[in-house]
Amino acid sequence: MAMNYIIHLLIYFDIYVIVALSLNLVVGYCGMLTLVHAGFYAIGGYAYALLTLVLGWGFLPSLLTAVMLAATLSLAVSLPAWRLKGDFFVLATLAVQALIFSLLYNWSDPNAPLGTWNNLTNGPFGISGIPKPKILGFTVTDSHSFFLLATVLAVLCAFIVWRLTSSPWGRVLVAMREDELAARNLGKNTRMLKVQALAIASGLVSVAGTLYAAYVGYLDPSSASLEESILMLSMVIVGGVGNFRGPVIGAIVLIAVPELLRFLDLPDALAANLRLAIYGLLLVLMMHFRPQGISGKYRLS
Amino acid sequence: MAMSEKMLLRSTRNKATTEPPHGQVLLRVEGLKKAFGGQDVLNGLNLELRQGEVVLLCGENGSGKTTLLNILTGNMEPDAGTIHYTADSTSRSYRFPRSWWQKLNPFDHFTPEFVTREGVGRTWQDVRLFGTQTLRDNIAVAEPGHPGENPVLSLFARHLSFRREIELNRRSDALLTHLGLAGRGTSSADKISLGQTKRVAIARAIAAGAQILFLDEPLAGLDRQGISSILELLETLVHEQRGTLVIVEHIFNQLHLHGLVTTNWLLEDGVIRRVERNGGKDNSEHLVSAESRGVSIQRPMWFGLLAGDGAEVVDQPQPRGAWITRIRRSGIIKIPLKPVLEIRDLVVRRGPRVIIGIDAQDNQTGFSLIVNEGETVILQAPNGWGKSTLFAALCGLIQPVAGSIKIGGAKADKLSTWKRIHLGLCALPSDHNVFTNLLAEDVLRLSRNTKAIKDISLFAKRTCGSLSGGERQQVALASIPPGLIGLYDEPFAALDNENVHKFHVLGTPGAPSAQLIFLPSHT
Repeated sequence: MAMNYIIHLLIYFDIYVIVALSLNLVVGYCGMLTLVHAGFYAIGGYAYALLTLVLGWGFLPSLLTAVMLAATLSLAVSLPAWRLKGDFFVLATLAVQALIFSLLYNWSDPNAPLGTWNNLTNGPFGISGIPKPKILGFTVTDSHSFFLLATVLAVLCAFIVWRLTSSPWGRVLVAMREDELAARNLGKNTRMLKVQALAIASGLVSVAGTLYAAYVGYLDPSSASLEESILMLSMVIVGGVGNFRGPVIGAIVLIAVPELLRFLDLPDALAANLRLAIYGLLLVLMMHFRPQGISGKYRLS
Repeated sequence: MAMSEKMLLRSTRNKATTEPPHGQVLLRVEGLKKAFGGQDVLNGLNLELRQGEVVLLCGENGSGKTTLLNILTGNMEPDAGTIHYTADSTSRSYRFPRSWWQKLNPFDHFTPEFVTREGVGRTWQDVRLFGTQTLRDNIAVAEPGHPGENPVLSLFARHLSFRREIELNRRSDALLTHLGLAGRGTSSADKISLGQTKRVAIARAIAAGAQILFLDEPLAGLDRQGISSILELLETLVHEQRGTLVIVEHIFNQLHLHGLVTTNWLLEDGVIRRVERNGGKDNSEHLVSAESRGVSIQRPMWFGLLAGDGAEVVDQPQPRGAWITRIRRSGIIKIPLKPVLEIRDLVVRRGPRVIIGIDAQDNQTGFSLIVNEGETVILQAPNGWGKSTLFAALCGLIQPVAGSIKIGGAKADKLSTWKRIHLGLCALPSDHNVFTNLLAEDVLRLSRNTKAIKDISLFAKRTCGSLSGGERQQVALASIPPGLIGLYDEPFAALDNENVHKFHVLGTPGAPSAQLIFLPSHT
């Protein structure tokens, strides 16, 4: 029993590591604060749910399609980023987040079957009964094998992020964060860089969304909500941005905090609210005493 | 340095530039026009730049030097005209105004990144290195056409960029060694001195493939050592690599460049008048004329303005290469002396380091200075001495760890900035000293200095953000209300000769009762 609980936590850790590392690519390396990350996470989850449930696709083709879809839709954020900077970029991401959330929430019709043009998302009721991952004829049913799958994907995503950020591409990204005008005057196409970084980050976070949908088996629009985006941001801000270690530490902290609360044996209604309050408190304390995060390299301004 | 040594240095410099450059044309501009708010700044300007030329772009405050620099480097689009970049083997022309279909074509934009690929580089007055990156990365990042900057290639075909990276790191380290920064490749760019950052910025632009280099006030804010190191670098560029430079420099520092410059561009009424120079002759004339105005190497140009005639001047050496010069003009100095600013045993830290209040051996001695009514006190110190830190501590932006500050006899070291202002402190920081989105006249109204509006009547109705650097500095100077003690950080920066006189010298209406001026050391 205790073993299953730990496996359950580790799967969540895998998912959050992908989320935090991909978000760090945008927030930490590009210096662009985004509130739309949960939107692309949900798009990954919904794409997987619909492709497997309605069309009966396997895990890998659904995953790849989800990644492609999220990466393409990231243009909705990266094109405005050509001209908008700072607070205005944050507002633009907020708008896209609201758009994605309301699409997922409203694209439904009680009289039409799920997955048709009239009822794509089943609206507020969400999609239940999402199949377990089927890979090469083998179905991942028990949590141990799912943990294996999630870990393989998390390691793969981490490897991609590590390889990219340690490459010359990562170096130009940091240069753009430090001084975009100076980078442009060295001949760097920063517009293209933003498109690339946001597409890669959105593609990666959709992997996390896919894993979540496959693990829990149920998905509703709340996974694209603003709270979810803020939770993701808290992860990288608490852990620290601009390097590899920070987001991983942030993911651990934000998984550990609610679990520790669980042992206090509080009533459920109170615990849920307390969790949000503690996230808020953590953020305020971090911003005040250690703005670069627990293990960050770069201070968000 | 002794005078004769200086002359020697200058004469060797002159010899090398006596042959006039006859290189290939790198840049040609025809009929360039630019207006701001209906006011013409550039008006049908033509120019031609040849390889090996070193151009000094001169002009009064507000004549459009920065605008021209921004246009030629692709940072600003002109209203009309043609620019031909012929430095690269593939020459490229831009005709303005651009048509709508050219704006849609993503491969034909007039932006800094496209102009840079035509072999144009620039530096900024405020340097703009990539602060958190290492020095090695700051130079390596400039490499043009690096395959590793494609994320797909760096993910799946790392071997393509692997060798190039090793070679690039080796070259960056060699370049840093050449700049006198050997072994500093891994220290971050915000941890080196101003002079060093300016050298790295020039090297970075060269590494990006610049054949024409536009330098915006490369000597600004530097002490003598910093200036000579930049000059050394520019000389190598010009003499060994036949580099082409266009330099905008403040009038005080132009003197240093005279051995290097081959051509003067005088920007006047929106067009350029080209003045060929023939080496040393012009240079010596300039020196003589400078000295006849009572300005020598030891006493720079602003000195005559502040001291006038018949002033008592006292120089006091300070630890770590700083000098305090007191100017007491008869008729203005009050006897008996009445202190308006008293700094005693001040110790200020920035992070773990003590910045103010240490001697050359790093012993904590405390910094003391008294400014009396009617006195002009000039603190000249090399870069990195801690002038800005002292300025911030006096204004109440940093809390000192020890010592006391009194303004007009009242203890001020625990007071907030605005309370110190009420005591009679008027402070002028070296930058961010006007509100960029306000009209110039509103800045003066805000500082309750409406009388001064007539001094800036030429541009009173424009927003400060649209003003040139010199005009902005004039607004900032005019916005200082008459108070007990005026605190100025590099007040003459960006001002040309004519406008230096707008500085409120003690005794003139609008001036405070005493002044403390911070300047980088030139002696």
